[in-house]
This record gives sequence, C-alpha cells and structure tokens, in this order.
Amino acid sequence: MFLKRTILAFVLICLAAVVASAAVAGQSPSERVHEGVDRIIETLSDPVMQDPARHDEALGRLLHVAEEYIDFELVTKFAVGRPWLQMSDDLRTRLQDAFMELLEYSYLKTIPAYGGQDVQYTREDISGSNAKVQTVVTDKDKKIIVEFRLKIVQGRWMIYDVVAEGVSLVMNYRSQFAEVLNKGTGEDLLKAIQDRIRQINQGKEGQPAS
Amino acid sequence: MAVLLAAVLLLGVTGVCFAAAPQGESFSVAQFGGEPAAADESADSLDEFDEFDAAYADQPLVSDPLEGWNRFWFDVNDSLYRGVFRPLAQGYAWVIPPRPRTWVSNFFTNLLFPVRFINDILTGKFDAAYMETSKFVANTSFGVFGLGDVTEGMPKNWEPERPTADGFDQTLGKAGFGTGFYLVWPFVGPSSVRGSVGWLADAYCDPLTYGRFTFIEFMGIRAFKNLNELSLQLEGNEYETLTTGAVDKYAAVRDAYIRFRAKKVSE
Repeated sequence: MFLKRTILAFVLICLAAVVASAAVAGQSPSERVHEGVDRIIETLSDPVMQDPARHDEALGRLLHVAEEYIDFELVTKFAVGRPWLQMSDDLRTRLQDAFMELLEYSYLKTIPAYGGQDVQYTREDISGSNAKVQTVVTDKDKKIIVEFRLKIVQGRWMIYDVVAEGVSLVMNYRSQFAEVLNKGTGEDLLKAIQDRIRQINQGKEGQPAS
Repeated sequence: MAVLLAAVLLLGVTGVCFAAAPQGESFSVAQFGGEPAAADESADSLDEFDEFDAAYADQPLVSDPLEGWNRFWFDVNDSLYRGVFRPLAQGYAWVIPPRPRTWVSNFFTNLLFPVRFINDILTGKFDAAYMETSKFVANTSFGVFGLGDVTEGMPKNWEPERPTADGFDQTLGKAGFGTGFYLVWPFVGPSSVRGSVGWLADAYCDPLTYGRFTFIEFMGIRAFKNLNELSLQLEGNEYETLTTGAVDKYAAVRDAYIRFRAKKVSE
C-alpha cells in the first residue's frame, strides 16, 4: 500500500517534471523552425529590403529577426572549432560579428530565390537539449532535404546549424577556417573574413582560394 | 581496360588507408595540437565540441594529398566558369526561351536512362528501376524521343522507397569502396578516385558514347548539354551559393563535394 503510493507519487513527480521542461522549452523545435523560416522569408520579401539606399536598415531588421531563432554565437563557435577555446573574449566577439556580417551579405540575395517553394516538415528528433528538424523543400520536381539542428539556449530552442543534402553549413565553414587557422592565428581568420566582406561589398567575386 | 579500372580502384582503397589516420593531410575535422588550457571549464567546453562532432561522425575523413594540383585546377575551372561558361550560358538563355531549353534537358536526362537503370539494379533498388523503365518508355514514345517529360506531375507517379540511382560512384560506395583521395579535374571539376572511376563507368553506359561521333563532335555535344543545364540554373545554382559566401572557395567546394557524395552513398 505504502509502496504503491510512493510509486504513484514518483510517477506524478516525473510527469510534472516532463511537463515543466516542455513548458520551459515553450515551442517545439519544429514550431520554432517554422516560425523562424516564415518570418525571415517575410522580412526578405519586403520590397524595402531590396532597395540599395536602405541597405543598412534592411540588414539590421533581418539580423534582428534572425537572432531570435538562430544562435549566432553557437554558429561561430562551432564553425571556428576547438581554437575558439583559446581565444580571448574580445576576439570571439569580433569574429562573431564579422561572421554574421559575412553570412548576411552572402545569403541575403539568394534566400528570396527560394521563396514560393513548398516546405514540408517531415521529422523531429529530440534528445536531451539537442534537436533535429528535417524538412523537404520541393522545387518543381527536385526535392531537397534540409535539416535544422537546434539546442536549448536560455529556455528556447535555437538553430545552430543547417544541413542541406548532407552538407552542413557549420562544418563547411569549419573546413575553410581550418585552412586559415592551420597556418595563422585567430586574427588572420578575422582579417580573412573581413576581406571577403569587403570584396562582396565591392561586387567582386573574390579569388578562388584566399 | 578492366584491369586498369581495378588498379585505379585499389589505389582508392589505399587512399582510404591514408584517410584513416587523422594526420595533417586529413582536413575534415581540424586537429590542432594545442594543449588544453589548465582550467576545468575548458574540459567541459571540449566536451561540447566532442558532442558536436559526434553528430557528424558518420562522415568519413578524406585526405587531399594532391592539394597543389587540385587547387591549381580549381582556380582554372573557377576562372573558366566566371569568364567563359557563365557568360555563355547567360547569352544562350537570353536568346533561347526556357521551354525549348527544358526540352533539351529532358532529352539528355532521358538518354541517361541506362546509367540509372543499371545502377538501380546493381544496388537492389528494383522499384526505382521499374519506375525508370516506365518513365523512359512513356517519355520516349509519347514524349517524342524524350524531349517532353510526359510523366512529370502525373498522379500515377510514385516515389520509390529510396531515391533513384545516381551513377556508378554511388554503387561503388555502397559496395564498400572508400572514396579515395580528393581530385580536381580540369573542366569536369571536383571528384575523387572512386568518383573518377564511376564517371568512366557511367560514360560506358551513356548511349552517346556509342554514337558515331568524332572526338570533337562528342566533346561538343557534352559541352552543349552542360551549357544548357547551366542556363536553366543561372539563378541560385549550388556552385554560386557555395562560393559566394566562402572565405576559402576551394575548401568550401571540397567539403561540400565529399559530404554530398557520402550522403548519396547512404541513400
């Protein structure tokens, strides 16, 4: 009798904990991705964004929206890899800012090209504080599998990587950054990123291998 | 010829042995010989990286021992793309409307039916093989020799359980052959030891190879096919997306190629 009660109490406490943790996380990973993708595309579809005179304002708005769903610190940290641990806070902040700028400038123009494709949310895997949300983007007859990877940061699911057809954005940048970091320092990496941003701004294509 | 192919494949196997030892030449996950900082918190942070990397651990390490050669040809190809192929494709797209160009694309896709069919059979994708056959028959007869893709969007279409075969490279990968090391060929672009063998084998299955063309004509047809494909993908094509935001274009394309091929093998 007593044992039964104890077990019941135990089960109830466990259930409460599960509910509480779900409540803490608020939205599910899929909901977060869905909302984030919708809002980013909506922001980009605004004609104001394409107006070159209001470029900075447009970038600011995009950044503001993106930061709510993507944790750029995690993105930068994992893109840099283990050398991140040896870097000063100042260098880390500067790298994060530069990398964010690079991502915005690079992909700002291409994302609108993906507007109007059909996006289906096919799978969600959660394990502890990590999650994967799988989507299938259909463009006419072509189907592309895009997987978002999320972690819980301060009670919310935040995106930290996008894997398209097996190619991870973070790992792709890591292999590029490794080339620079193998031969130089974090400052060299920062300079390489800033050089590339400058080249994009000037409308240049950049050298094949920097 | 078969002996030559076998020899090259074996080379690929040794390439895998290179890759198995994660030394300086392997690039996928950079191993920096830095000593971990004394503080305990870095041990936790290292765990974080280990946890992160573990999520990508199913991907093989591939070595790049011929990086000098590869980077040289990558530069050449990139310059050719920007200076010659892309402007040509843009001009071609400006002159010819999209519909006829889609017909040409359909024709060449249809023609490659034997490649997909043979590799579907070889990898046990019989449902995909059946689908390919029925599409080929429908498109060649009703679609006027493959110019029209009559099966596009038809209700009778069903998705085979696994995507249809890609080519011999994928088949070899499923058979257990390692990628071998990374290679960049002029014009053809990024490849690997296994990829190059696959490309050769696919050429043997391509009906075009058996047409009575001179070498120049054959190259011309191939070039036209590629130009046509590029003209249909001028906006937001993968090469541009990948290289525009890259700090090191060569590394970006190399990483993408290796991971994309690994994914194809797992399909």
